[in-house]
Amino acid sequence: MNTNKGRMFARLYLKDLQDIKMESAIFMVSIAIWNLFLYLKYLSNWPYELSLGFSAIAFGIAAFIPFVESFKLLWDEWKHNTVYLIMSLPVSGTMVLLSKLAVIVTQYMALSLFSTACFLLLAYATPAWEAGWSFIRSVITDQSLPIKFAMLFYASSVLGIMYTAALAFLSSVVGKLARKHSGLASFGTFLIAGYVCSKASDLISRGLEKLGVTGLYYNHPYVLRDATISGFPTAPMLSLLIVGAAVFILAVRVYESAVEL
Amino acid sequence: MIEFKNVTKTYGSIKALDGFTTKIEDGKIVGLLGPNGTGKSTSLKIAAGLSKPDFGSVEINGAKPSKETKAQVAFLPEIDHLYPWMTIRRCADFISAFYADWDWDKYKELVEFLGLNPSTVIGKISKGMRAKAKLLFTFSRNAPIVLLDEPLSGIDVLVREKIIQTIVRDYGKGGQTIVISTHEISEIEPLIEYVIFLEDGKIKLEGNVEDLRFKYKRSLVDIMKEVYGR
Repeated sequence: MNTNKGRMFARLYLKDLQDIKMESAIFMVSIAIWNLFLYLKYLSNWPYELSLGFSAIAFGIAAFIPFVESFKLLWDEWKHNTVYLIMSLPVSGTMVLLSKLAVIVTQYMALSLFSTACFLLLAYATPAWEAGWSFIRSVITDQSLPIKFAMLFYASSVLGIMYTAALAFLSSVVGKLARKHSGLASFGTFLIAGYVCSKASDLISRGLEKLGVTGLYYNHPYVLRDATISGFPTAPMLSLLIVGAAVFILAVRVYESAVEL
Repeated sequence: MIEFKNVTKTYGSIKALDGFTTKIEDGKIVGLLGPNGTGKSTSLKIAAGLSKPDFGSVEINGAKPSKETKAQVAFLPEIDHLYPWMTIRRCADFISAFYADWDWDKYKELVEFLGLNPSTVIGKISKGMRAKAKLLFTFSRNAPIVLLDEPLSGIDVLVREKIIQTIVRDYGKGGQTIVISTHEISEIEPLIEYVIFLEDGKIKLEGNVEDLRFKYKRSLVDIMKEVYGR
């Protein structure tokens, strides 16, 4: 049998992807129905702004589900005793956790892009689309600004998901070291590590700005005509990436050296 | 060869292994025997790299347990450790990607021999069938070392026979080192060549089965009763 790291990673990734397939599908169907309902409400004389506002709730849920999933993916391995299978495989802890991280990011991208597509469709079906673009065109000089802003926001959100998933992995594996109250230990670790990481991220971001890396900026919101936006990558994004990577490496170290069955 | 050197492992106040030292030679079927809670599963988990000793060390062919040694070891835990939502075929696809010694021909033969249906979902089959499925994935590999933790536990007589036949059948072909931990000795007695009796994490008695039978002039079951004073 031919074995290589790429094939092993793909099997781990596809296995976890299969595990979350159903709930992702349920979420997508729910969002589609929710947006259809909001469209019907708009047709029955609801203000379209209200429909769009409610539609935007899906963005929050699209981020919340992968966050919960990042805990669940690891906890389920213990719940179903499949951790015995995973830990007996000839793979590193890095590969095990990286495949789970890739699944979380995939799920976030699928759910967020689907929610965005539904939101845009709803906007397109209402006067919001034309009114919004007319307004934007009239008040800004740089017509590509909304696209740049959306890309910057989206890239930051993907990094944010990776960072919180790494924190969830660390909390989960630390929780598994506790003989009793492992859920409480995970929760405590998440809070403490989250606080320490936010401070570290802030410090690193400021340090990077001093080194000349662009800070995240969007100039004075009241003067939209001259609005500009920072380029890629920004100091906060880089600091999030650095801190997230450090947390991930720590989670791998704990998983490999301290977790036992 | 699997070598335990003065291995001690505690869980809270319970000493699962206490200075456990032994060498398991290549190409033998070894019985790790004793009542419940004597350290049999712990020693197998340490050899499989799922647990670490507090003191002492374990070596698999001269190397400490790692992902490299895991590639040489096929471990069958006592509990159900397979993904319940996978079919048997899907599980085989998953596991096969990690082992160079996976043998699809052997897998197909064993599926037939054990009477398993590859399209069956693992979570929906009986305990006996799940035990067979675990055995299928363990013996579809040509792993040099096979560790079986209580493979007969809670299994009915007919399935037990099939499991024992599978172990013997594979051993005859491959000459693997097989370590079987169990407290149900009568069924595996004809299989094993070397035996280690454990008590409180220590070796109570070990030796070649034939030598022990000759020395004590009785069966392993009776030797076990004498060893544990029952």
